[in-house]
Amino acid sequence: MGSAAARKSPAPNKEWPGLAATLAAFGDEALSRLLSLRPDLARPAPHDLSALASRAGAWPSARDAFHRLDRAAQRVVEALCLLDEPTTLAELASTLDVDDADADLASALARLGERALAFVTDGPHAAVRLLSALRQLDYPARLGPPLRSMTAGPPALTLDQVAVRLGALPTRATPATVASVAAMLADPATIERVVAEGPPGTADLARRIATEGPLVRVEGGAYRVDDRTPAGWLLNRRLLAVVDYFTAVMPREPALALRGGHPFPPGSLRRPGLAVALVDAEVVDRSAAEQALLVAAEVAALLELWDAEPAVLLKAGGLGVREVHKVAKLIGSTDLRAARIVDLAALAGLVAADAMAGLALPTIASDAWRALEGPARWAHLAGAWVASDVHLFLAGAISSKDKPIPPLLNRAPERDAPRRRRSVLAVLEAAVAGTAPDGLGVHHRVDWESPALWAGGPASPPVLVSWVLQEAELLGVAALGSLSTAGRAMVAGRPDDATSELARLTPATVADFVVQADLSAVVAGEPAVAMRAELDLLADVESKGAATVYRFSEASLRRAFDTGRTADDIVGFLERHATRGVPQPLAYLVTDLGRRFGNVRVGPVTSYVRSDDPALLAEVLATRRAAGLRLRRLAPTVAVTHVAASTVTATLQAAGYLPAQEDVDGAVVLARPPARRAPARRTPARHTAPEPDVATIVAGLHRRLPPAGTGSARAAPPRTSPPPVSPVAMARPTQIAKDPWAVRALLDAACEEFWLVRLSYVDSQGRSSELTVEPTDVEGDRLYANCFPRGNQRTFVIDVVEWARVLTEAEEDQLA
Amino acid sequence: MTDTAGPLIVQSDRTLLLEVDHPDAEACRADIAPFAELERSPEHVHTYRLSSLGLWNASAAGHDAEQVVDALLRWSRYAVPQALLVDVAEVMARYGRLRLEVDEVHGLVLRSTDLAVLTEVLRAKAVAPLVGPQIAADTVVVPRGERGRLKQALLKAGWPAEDLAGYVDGTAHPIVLHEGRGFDLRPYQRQAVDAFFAGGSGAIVLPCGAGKTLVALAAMARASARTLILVTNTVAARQWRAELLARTSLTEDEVGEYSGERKEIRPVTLATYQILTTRRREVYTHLELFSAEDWGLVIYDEVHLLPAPVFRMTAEIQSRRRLGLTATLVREDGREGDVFSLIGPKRYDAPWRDIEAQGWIAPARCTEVRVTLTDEERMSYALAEAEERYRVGATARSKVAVVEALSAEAVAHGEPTLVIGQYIDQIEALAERLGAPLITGKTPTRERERLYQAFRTGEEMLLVVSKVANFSIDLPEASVAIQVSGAFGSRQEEAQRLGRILRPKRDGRQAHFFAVVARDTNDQEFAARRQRFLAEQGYAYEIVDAEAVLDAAAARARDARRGELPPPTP
Repeated sequence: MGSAAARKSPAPNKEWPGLAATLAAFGDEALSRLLSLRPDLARPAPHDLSALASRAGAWPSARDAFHRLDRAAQRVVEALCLLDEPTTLAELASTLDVDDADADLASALARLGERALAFVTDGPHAAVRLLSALRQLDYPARLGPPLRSMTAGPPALTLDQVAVRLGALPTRATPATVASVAAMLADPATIERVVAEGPPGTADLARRIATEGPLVRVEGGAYRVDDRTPAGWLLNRRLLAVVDYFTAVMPREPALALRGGHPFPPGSLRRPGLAVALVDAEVVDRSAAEQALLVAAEVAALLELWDAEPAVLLKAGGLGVREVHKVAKLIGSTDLRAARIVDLAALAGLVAADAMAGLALPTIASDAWRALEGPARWAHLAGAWVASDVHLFLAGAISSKDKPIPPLLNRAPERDAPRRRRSVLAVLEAAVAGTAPDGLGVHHRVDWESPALWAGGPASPPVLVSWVLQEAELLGVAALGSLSTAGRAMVAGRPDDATSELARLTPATVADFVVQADLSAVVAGEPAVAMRAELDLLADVESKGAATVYRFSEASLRRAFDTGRTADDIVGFLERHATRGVPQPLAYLVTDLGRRFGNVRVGPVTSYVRSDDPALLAEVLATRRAAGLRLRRLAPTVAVTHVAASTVTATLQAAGYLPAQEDVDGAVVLARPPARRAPARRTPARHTAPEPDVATIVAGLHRRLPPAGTGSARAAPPRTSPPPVSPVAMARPTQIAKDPWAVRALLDAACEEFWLVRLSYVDSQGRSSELTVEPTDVEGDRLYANCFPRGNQRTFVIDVVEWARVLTEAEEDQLA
Repeated sequence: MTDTAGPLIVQSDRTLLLEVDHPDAEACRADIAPFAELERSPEHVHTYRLSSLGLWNASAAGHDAEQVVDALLRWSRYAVPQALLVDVAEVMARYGRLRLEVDEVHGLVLRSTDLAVLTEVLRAKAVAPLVGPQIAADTVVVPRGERGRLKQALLKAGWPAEDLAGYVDGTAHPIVLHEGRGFDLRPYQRQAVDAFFAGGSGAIVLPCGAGKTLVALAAMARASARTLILVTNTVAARQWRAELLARTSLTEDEVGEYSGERKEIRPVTLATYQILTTRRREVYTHLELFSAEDWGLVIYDEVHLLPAPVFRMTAEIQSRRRLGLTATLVREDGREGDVFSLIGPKRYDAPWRDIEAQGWIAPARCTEVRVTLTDEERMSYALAEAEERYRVGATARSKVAVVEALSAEAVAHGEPTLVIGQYIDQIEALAERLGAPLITGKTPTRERERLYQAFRTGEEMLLVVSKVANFSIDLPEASVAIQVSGAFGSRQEEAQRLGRILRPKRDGRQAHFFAVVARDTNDQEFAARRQRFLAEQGYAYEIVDAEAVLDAAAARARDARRGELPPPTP
């Protein structure tokens, strides 16, 4: 990579009208497309075309755009980097080993064109122009720098020695030696001979660096070398050149020679094919539906469980193995699946960790979810999953500490997770119904389409892809490797269609059941929500699936009595819904329980008044001065009140009695605590800035060419009203500068006066962040500044500074 | 909804729900019965369970996975869980990959078409010591004596072997079934015998009263070889003996009894489980019985009660044809797998209700009578030690009046009645109060048989029995049973007890089972379990208050005094 200085001022291309002029030739549609493909250009909205061109031509933006390219377009860019400007189409095609008219090449160039990264100029000598900033790419095509640009070598090593070692005769003239060494290193036959003669392993090492290089770590250091090690052998012959103490680089020529003269493997531009297996679409739909309803039922069961008994979080956060196991036991699955179900419920906002209480609880939103029918419940889960910035399968995966990652850990969101998921789902979506793309093929495809997306995730790219595929199967969005009809609708953003499609495959909702003398009730289908809620209360679920089997027991019925149902309510409910009548033993059981329920009464009381003399107690109760105590008589010798014992004592003393206060002994009054709810989780889309309104921006762009003579794309924005810069010390401005020129003026002044500045900056991801900086220099459209408090040097594009203000002295003092 | 409106719902937890009143229910039942075990059969929806053993039973009977999957798909109302179908195929494919065969040169061998499977099982720790040298890639020699243990081990390893090694014929002994002399084999009994001989060895599952003994006699006649019959106790042995003499050509001299009292070994020998499991100094002393004769058939009565040591002995005699008889394959000790590997797979099974519907078993009504304890009894219950509580509740005096009223009413209607209880004190007191003979474990066998005979002839209408009556006695005329106390809700016991009164009656009268239960005690909790079990078996169940029973009795007594006819039983 070039030095920072090179990056600051790349040589402008004189023969080309420049980026701004090229962009001026873009139609509205093309501009809109550019802004949507490179959204960082639209944040904040550029004022005119030259601002846009300056932003688009800048290295950070260009670099990000490059990383978001597919592999074919990246290869084309890399090939252009290897070639000199201007490049003819024929040169480019031959470097890429394809025909001039190759369709893949043409489409890759088109993709580069619409991103303003490379342009094909018309005319008799069709040339391809690469955005000059992109020439700063590190090691295009994994090739090192050409020999002629390299001078460094082991200090003791002269070019002559290299030439001798390579088998050439040294000449007196240095340029001739350089030329002869360069020629030998570019000659495949020589290279083959040299690596073959080296110590064992030399050829393997050379080939490995040639394809995976160009950098290689040299054990023991690159400066103490001799011919006994493969790396030493190569270093001594300039097949490797020293970069730093432990690193060497293979120059471009020998690497190319080792690659057989082709910088790219054949077929590099071709999109990888996708092997598909044939599956029965109906089976896919049914299996997925089965899974979809199961997952919704499991989440519902989880909510029930935590309603009754919130899960205790680990001290370090996350849900411990024991709690996960409890869930697994409840839903009859493995711990791993249980962990994922927990995280699914969390990402759907149905459960949340209440870190203060150290508990995991259902959220307020879960109540609304529970009122939904099965298919709608699923649609909520699947929709949340599609948009989620969490990799569901991270839960249970092995962490770097060799331990499984617990669910509900407040993990940093994976910004790329939704895009990764979408890119995999898009491959499945593109597959015809009834075909299942092969998992490895999906990986190759998505990796080709956006290589950068898969790098830097919490797992290797193939694992990440397999996670998404398995998540889709877990959710019932896909089955047997193919999207179900409902899943397809969900992915396409039609949740209503997805819901109704799933409803079609859902066992019919039934509002009746059969009760039998063994106290079981069978709902032959998906129970209607209201009826299910009541049955869940009255009986325990024994078997779930297409049908639900409930079992009434004394314990389950008592639960209903606890919530205020009477025997008549229960029998009435059963009679309304039980198609074959209520068996006598069940009716008897309900009535019998009704008879016994409440035989022992419990209630809250603050204090009591007792006396062995019922007459005296009666008198106390009748006393007007004690009326305020609202004493209630439980038995002839005991009365109770909600008033504190000390107050009762005082009141009775005032009324002329001689009460003695008794100690509290034992009996704790327990009341059933209300179901607890965790606060709703923050919305999943917490870190993404709103999508810029491309159409408005394009409409607002001043459709005009930059002034003649400032052909460079890097021209600073014209200063419409340049503020006077006073040579004498200025007073600190107190306004917040928002216009680019005002910001620039403020920063200029801050540089001069050594003021600290608070500013808001939009980075290449479109996130805005506020920070305090110490401006050091303003050059062109750049601000160089030290960041507070870390002191690291950063470069800011002034254009995308949203606002800036000078800190007051008081604020500066505070920072100091 | 894409349902086919079939009668079956297949749950992902491997239960199958069959809607009984569906028009296709019977056809569906016939299709699924071979591979699914009927778990519960209450009035409307029957529950079957798919288990590995059940699927292997089906494999053994010649059904393949395709038939099973097809049956599930054909009758299922909703989508069948795919995972379950895959699993069915996988489990069924495991049966028969390994076969026990007889090699002309090497004798008994274990052979497999699947080398990977053979390698896997041979490496298993439990299997390795039971096999001899490997003589070919797919064949390994099995010492004769290990045939049973190997089958057990293979089943545990999940690869049940198909036993094709055949049987020795045993010493022939002609036995003729006297069909037509007062009895005929019912169609299902004939089917059961055919199924047994087609399969070799195995278990026949028929409900009490469905004539299992007759199936065994028919099997003996078909085998016409020396036969060893293992029964639960001496009373049962005597009854078998009576049946053998009455219904076959066998004479007194040909039937021997091997028990504590007598040790006869004859062409047909009856032995009790008790004598077989008697040990002297850690050694089972009566093992020689199995090798004493060249048996051609070994019959295990009530195979679900077979004691563990008998399994061990059975493992030694795998070359003899074995017939297990039972009302249920469910064992309290969970050794269903041993029955499968050592006795053999299920060869025939008919659901109780179907046989009942055919009129072979009298339908029974079950009534639970709840007795409210007196305050004094409640207090003594409340104060009893935890382990004593059940006894205190179950033997409450308040029950006596109810039992009295119920039995008086039954006897008045000419119903042969049994009063069954667990606690000797209680039933002694009851017998005295009711003026009825008492049978307990202490009653000498001769006296017991005399009383049973009297009961059969109608001389005695009311018997009070302890739990000795639970197993293998034959009381054809009992049509009312009143239980005052029982063991802790063992399913087997319930099946047996109900079996007592389920015997077919000549006039088709309805049998009635009363359980007298103390309200608000754990007696009632056990009753709840009983209720569940009986209801699961499809019997009408009702709960009434003791007051209602006593009031009705009092009213009848009043009416009787007025010389009016008593109203019919409710």
